[in-house]
Amino acid sequence: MPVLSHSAVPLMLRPALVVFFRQLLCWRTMWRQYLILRLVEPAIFFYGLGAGFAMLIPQIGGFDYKTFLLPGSIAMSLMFGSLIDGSYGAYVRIFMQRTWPSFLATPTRIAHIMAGEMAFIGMRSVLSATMLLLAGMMLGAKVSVLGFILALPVIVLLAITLMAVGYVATGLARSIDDFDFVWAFVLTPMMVFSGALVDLRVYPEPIQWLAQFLPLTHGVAAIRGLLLGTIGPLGVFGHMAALLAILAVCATLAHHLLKQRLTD
Amino acid sequence: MTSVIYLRDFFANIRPILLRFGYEYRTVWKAQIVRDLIDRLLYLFAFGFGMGALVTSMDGMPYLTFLVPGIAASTGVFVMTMAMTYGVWERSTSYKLYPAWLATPVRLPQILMAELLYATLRTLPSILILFLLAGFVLGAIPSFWGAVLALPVLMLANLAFGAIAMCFTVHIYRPLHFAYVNTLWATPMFLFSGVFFDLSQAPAPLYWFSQALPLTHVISLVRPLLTGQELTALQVVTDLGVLLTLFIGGYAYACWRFQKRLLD
Amino acid sequence: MTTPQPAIQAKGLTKTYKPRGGGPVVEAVKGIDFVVKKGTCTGLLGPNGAGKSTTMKMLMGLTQRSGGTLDIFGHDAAGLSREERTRIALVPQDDNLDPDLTVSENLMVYGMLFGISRAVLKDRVPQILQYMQLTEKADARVNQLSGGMKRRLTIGRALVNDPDLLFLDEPTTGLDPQARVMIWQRILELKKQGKTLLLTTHYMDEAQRLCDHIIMIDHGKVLDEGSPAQLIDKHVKKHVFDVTKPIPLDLPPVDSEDVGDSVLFYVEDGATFRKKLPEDATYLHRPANMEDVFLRLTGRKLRD
Ligand SMILES: Nc1ncnc2c1ncn2[C@@H]1O[C@H](COP(=O)(O)OP(=O)(O)O)[C@@H](O)[C@H]1O
Ligand SMILES: [Mg+2]
Repeated sequence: MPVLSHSAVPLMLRPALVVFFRQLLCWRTMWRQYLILRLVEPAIFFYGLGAGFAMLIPQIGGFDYKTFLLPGSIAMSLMFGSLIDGSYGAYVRIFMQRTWPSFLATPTRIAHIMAGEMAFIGMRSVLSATMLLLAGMMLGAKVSVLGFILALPVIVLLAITLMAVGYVATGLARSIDDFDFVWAFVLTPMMVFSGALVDLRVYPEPIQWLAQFLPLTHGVAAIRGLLLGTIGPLGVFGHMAALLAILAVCATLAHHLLKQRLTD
Repeated sequence: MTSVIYLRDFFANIRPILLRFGYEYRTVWKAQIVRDLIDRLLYLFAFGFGMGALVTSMDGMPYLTFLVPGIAASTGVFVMTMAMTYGVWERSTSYKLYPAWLATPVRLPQILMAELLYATLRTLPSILILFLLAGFVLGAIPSFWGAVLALPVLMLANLAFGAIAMCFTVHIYRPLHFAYVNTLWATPMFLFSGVFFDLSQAPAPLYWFSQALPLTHVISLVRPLLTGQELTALQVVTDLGVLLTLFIGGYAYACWRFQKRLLD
Repeated sequence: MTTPQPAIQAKGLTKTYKPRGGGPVVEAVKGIDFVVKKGTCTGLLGPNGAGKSTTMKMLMGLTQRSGGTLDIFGHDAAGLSREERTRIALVPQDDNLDPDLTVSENLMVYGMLFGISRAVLKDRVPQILQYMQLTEKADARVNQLSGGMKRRLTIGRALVNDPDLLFLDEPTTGLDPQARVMIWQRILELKKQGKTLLLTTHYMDEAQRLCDHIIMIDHGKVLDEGSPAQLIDKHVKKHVFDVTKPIPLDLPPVDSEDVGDSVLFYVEDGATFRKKLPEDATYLHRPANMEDVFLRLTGRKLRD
């Protein structure tokens, strides 16, 4: 692997760091839009569904619906931000603007670019999750701030994992229209079957089992557990291990696919 | 006499553009129907069964029966919004097809009308499939003839949704900003128009807000039609009036602004 | 007998672009007058940004003019009737083919936009494909075509309505020599059929070969116009000597221009000037052409 041909570790990381800064530079012109979209979209779900169902469903698992919904909204917002950047965003950077090929004409390798972009997404997700937490608390959700701080590693891991899922889609996509299928078969199913909006336990058993393969399910479970104080350390580590496994599979697969696409 | 010639030319010029869309549809129709329908079906299952387990009855009917008309009505919101924002942008600006078409005897209002008609026709198969599924498989549409009557109402509604989306498009100069239309217009409308819960029980501010959203007026017609609830003549006239006004007004405004923008 | 009505007549034509959200306005066309006679090929020549495409767009009614008058077939270009519009076609500078359709569908739809019936098009589309040597690609999608094929298709598309007046905005830019020669043949054939053509190009050999009349514009203004021969006669002498530096000291005082590595000398009598050059001088002797006129009129400074 060319990545390993640099023996010194700092040297190996350097191109990734450059990619990180490149993303940061781009974000200078777009952060306003990003924050508005990533804040408003889940807030609308949160308020729209929360207000309607709060009257009908007084309690889910001992919590009012709004409190139950907030961790799910945070996880959903991470999903939109990361998965869309890993799919649409990366597709534009790779095949339309041809930013990746221009990087690859330098000692930078595909793994560097993926690592740098993922690091950036991880950082951005902390920012948007914090904003959503504050907004949700102002709208009346009663969650633990300490739990949120403990959830930050999960938040970053979830964002990076979803980005890797997006990269897989990019590796497979033949045109930008193919990402409609990401909406249809990845984003929306995750939204409705991960337990972000409704308690997973209302679904039939087989669906509950299938849901365990969705990264968002584990993200929601860990973040909700920490924010509501209903999960122990073992549970959190369990979900993080599941996320790490999905991340490892998707990142490897995406690297393989993208390498093929970019070198053939 | 001139108006007769105008009308004759108007429809003569729309035909080739519709044919053009027909050629396109011929190659993409399967994927198109999946794209247009899949997320509606997911919402129907997730909420119909998920929430349906918790909310047994809504407005005096099973929750799934309550949900079907709202989901059907919201199909057009998303399909039309996508087609009239990204789609129109793509054809007018990225592919520069509008300038190509305007170099022939075709005029802009004819192009925009063809866009509206095609996208509206495109929603028909999706809605039909949804109706067949909900009616015959799930048994959630009590009134067959009501469903038949609902089809023209939904077509008018979709023309109106398309015309409104066009009004956003004429003011948007960066494709990045189309995400706002989805997030700040289509999604809130979907969540606040009584798709998921009975508005008459909502808090007053939410109730009045919902009355300002066109989707509310579609649902207030389509739900009684499909479920066999009573529908007053006043209600029919008001709601159809609102939709017709939005369609004509939105179309006229979009034509006027788009003309200015293209010829500038 | 009255003089025949020109195909195009522009008087004091101006176009000002006002950027959205403030910023300096761009005066792309600053009051130009010109006439395009029926049945001729007229070249609109000028450096990048001179205002050629803007003029074309105003002619097509694709952009609103800011001032002046512009008549096509004796009627205001912005208010042509449907019938008049079916007699005009444009080959735009950037291809705007329909990527969702195949090659022949592109022609089919475009023909119908001109109001031509499908029955007529069923015959005409294959003819045009043949004429533009695209028959094998009839069922290919546009993004499977090479740049040259796309250009040929765009030109073919502009012929689908058999126009009397044809605007060609840089039809051969970026094409290989084979494709250029083929397109020249087509343009000359159209001229023979009595069509009126307005052409822009950056290739002076092309302009000299195809155009009866040339209008030189720069910075939105007409610099000069006339037939290629008239313009060469007027602005440069018959012969050009491109003499590599160092320049011999005792040359006669003639019209000359320093272009860096060498100096160009424009002279009427080539044989006499050559005798004045020392034996060991390095030089190139050629007849003057439109390129010399163009650079003379518009200067050598880079645009864009
Ligand atoms: N849509 C536009 N908005 C603003 N300025 C424009 C626009 N189109 C052209 N221009 C400007 O008008 C001038 C003339 O452009 P153009 O007609 O395209 O030149 P040419 O075709 O001769 O190269 C240029 O300075 C260009 O930047
Ligand atoms: Mg130009």
